[in-house]
Amino acid sequence: MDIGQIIKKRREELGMSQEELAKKAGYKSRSSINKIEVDGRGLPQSKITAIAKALRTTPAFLMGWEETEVFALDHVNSCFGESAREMLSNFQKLNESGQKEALKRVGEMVHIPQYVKADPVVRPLRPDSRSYLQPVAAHERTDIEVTEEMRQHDDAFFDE
Amino acid sequence: MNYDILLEEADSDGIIIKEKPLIGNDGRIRGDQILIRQNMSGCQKACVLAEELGHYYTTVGDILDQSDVSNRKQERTARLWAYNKMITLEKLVAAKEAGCRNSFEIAEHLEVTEEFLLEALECYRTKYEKGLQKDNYLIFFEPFNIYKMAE
Repeated sequence: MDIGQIIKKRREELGMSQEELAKKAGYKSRSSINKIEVDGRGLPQSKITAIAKALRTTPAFLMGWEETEVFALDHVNSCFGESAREMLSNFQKLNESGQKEALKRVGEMVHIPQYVKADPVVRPLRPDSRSYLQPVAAHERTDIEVTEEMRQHDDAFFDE
Repeated sequence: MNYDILLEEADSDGIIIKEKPLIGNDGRIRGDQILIRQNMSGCQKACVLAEELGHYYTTVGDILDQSDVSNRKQERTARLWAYNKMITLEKLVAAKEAGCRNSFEIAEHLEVTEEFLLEALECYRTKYEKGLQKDNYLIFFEPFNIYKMAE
């Protein structure tokens, strides 16, 4: 992958638009970012740092010198928390049989109640928090002129 | 489809229906509560209830403001539900079979108000245009008439 593709991929991972990135990296318009993403043109050294910062990564990563692993760990961290990250990076250091053993041990722990999270508490939304979805409609009389007082009078019956 | 049957169906779906001395409305719905105006004939109540049930099953949110186009669409959908509940092509043919000669008699036979029937027919007209053939019957909508085809 060249630098343009890496920038694009990272930007999309962050759910950022070209405009946002342009703004954050100090470019005037989206088209400069587009050019860079298409063929890596027009990217002076000085801007790499700015873009890396905007994409919350390092210039080395953008250049493709750093493995994406670092990045995946960051991702794990944001999804599952610090301990998941730590566990995964330790796991990476193990050899094949070590990884097997680690999987086995963790797998066993799942069966020990002491170590397992309680069943997730299912908390249904309170009905009133969904009240905006409730049908509210009126079949007004057409044979007479209906006034606001009449409507209020009728609505009062709902709360009886 | 008369009022009592509708009431029972609604009740089994957990809908609360109250008949109250409403002034400005024939029918009103909020959530699972439906209000029906007292002092209406049975078939009037049935038609109003069918429309409110139409809202219960098809409407989402507050559509009281009928100047909003999407609310009017929902209103139309609810009414279509009611027409399909109370009046179907099959029932129109059955009414003809039973000897009804005009819309008034058909409305009486189907236990709906004539106004409701005419509104439903208008809906069918927009759907089927001039008319259609249903089994051995020709149903025309402008003007409304049902003819039995010669064997």
